[in-house]
Amino acid sequence: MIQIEKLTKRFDQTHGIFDVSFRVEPGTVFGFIGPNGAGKSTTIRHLMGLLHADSGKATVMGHDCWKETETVKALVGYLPGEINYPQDMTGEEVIRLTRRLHVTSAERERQLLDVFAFDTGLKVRKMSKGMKQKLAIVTCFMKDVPVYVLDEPTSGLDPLMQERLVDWVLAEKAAGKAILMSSHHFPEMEKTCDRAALIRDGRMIIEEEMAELKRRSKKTYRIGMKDEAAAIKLSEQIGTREQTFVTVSLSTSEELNGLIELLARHDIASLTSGTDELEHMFMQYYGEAT
Amino acid sequence: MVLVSSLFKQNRGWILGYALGTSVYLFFLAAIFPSIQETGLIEGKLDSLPPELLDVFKIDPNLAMDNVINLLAGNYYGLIFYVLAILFASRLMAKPVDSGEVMLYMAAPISRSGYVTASIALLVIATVLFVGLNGLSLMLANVLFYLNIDSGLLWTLQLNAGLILLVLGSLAYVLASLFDDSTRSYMVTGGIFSIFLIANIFSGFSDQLDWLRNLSIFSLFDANALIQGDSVWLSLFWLTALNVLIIVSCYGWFTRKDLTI
Repeated sequence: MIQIEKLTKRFDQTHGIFDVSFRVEPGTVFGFIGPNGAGKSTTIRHLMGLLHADSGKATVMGHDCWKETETVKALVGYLPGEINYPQDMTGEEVIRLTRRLHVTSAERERQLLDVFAFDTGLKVRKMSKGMKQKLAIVTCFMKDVPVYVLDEPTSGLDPLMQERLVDWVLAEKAAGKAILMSSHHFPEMEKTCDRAALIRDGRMIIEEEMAELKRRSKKTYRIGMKDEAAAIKLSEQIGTREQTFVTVSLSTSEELNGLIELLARHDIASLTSGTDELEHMFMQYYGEAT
Repeated sequence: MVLVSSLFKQNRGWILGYALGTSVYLFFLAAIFPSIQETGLIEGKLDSLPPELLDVFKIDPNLAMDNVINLLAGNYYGLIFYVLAILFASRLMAKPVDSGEVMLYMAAPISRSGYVTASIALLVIATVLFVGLNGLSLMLANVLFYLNIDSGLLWTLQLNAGLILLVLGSLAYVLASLFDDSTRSYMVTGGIFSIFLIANIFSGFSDQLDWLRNLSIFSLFDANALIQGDSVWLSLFWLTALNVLIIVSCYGWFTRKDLTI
């Protein structure tokens, strides 16, 4: 289990993280969301014993992440946001080194190399971003540990590999692992996370069950009308108009049913849904940050 | 031990490149030394150069062609070795911290002091390989070409060279640990090492600038003074003391440092 309590690290007056608190329970995935520079990686670095907090505490299964860093790192599989493996090593050499540095499972290694297949004979310097990411995923999950910390895990992966990673994470969750996942990729967060938090300017803005976040979030629909007159007529009843298009934002299924009933009485040219629910909600917070 | 062997495997290509490259250079220079000596061309050239210039590079024209070691004291150990030592130390110790490659090890259940110990062990291995192979190549040349090299003097020179390499390496490590920004770290490390080098060269310009030697770590490795019979023990003592001090600071800094990798 991961526990962060009132964690504060001040780099200067405005930069750092301030009073960050959350828990990640076994068998759950916790989504950590925020704009670039919000403090996600800074928080994660405390868990890996890379940063020493000014105040507050970060623990993994009761072990202090700074004072008992060796114990903590033995319990955690870490996928860093920036993959900086030695450039002259091949994928196979990095995997072999991981085997020697950590307690790993040969069976998991074989499975991972099947699922996230790539040319392990290639040197890191020759690898694409996606290949390096797959290498990092393999070396992270080779460890059969109770806690995983994943910083932007799908970065650089193609859609098929993203889907496979989501499946892998769900399997780990089902096996009772506690997983902290920072990401900008909302569909994967919706599929995997039980709970999520948004951090902005180093402070936690919201922390909520995923189901509750979805319930509160708004969904946007863009309705195309035959002509401008029809669009004006519809916009008088609902939404906002832009030329022949009307945009409607909804929160509940009741509102959605009402919209469908309304549209049935109009001659509609097209209907498209906007950003995903969760993404839409977080984009509002992101927007406030910029 | 796993960590030391991993770090060595990761770096052995270029460590051996430096060690073998310089050793081959020394071997061939030693091989052709008797011919150079016979022609007297270099001696003539050295005599024609202004004494101030020879002072700058610590070359004594009366001794330079007596023995291959004397020639190397000015040629290799007087300048080339300093530059190589700077490049070698920076690459070995500063680059992994600056580039973030150290994360591979920091994510493993290894303590920071364990990582520092392994890095220092690698520095010692690399240094022994560098100066050891340099010394062996000259010993081999001595056997093959009857160069009359004083083995005791040669290995004292190598010991002194090895100690200065260790000081530079551990200093580069401390400096890399001080900064989060790799460009700034390289600039400061390169800047400080260049000041050492420039101070050492400028100290030869005139007697009035002799004090500049005190600013440079390189003044603790004066191959010409060593050949001329000056006692080396004080230099060795200071280099050892500096090494201990800097290595202790390596542990102090690196185990407390915030790593934003």
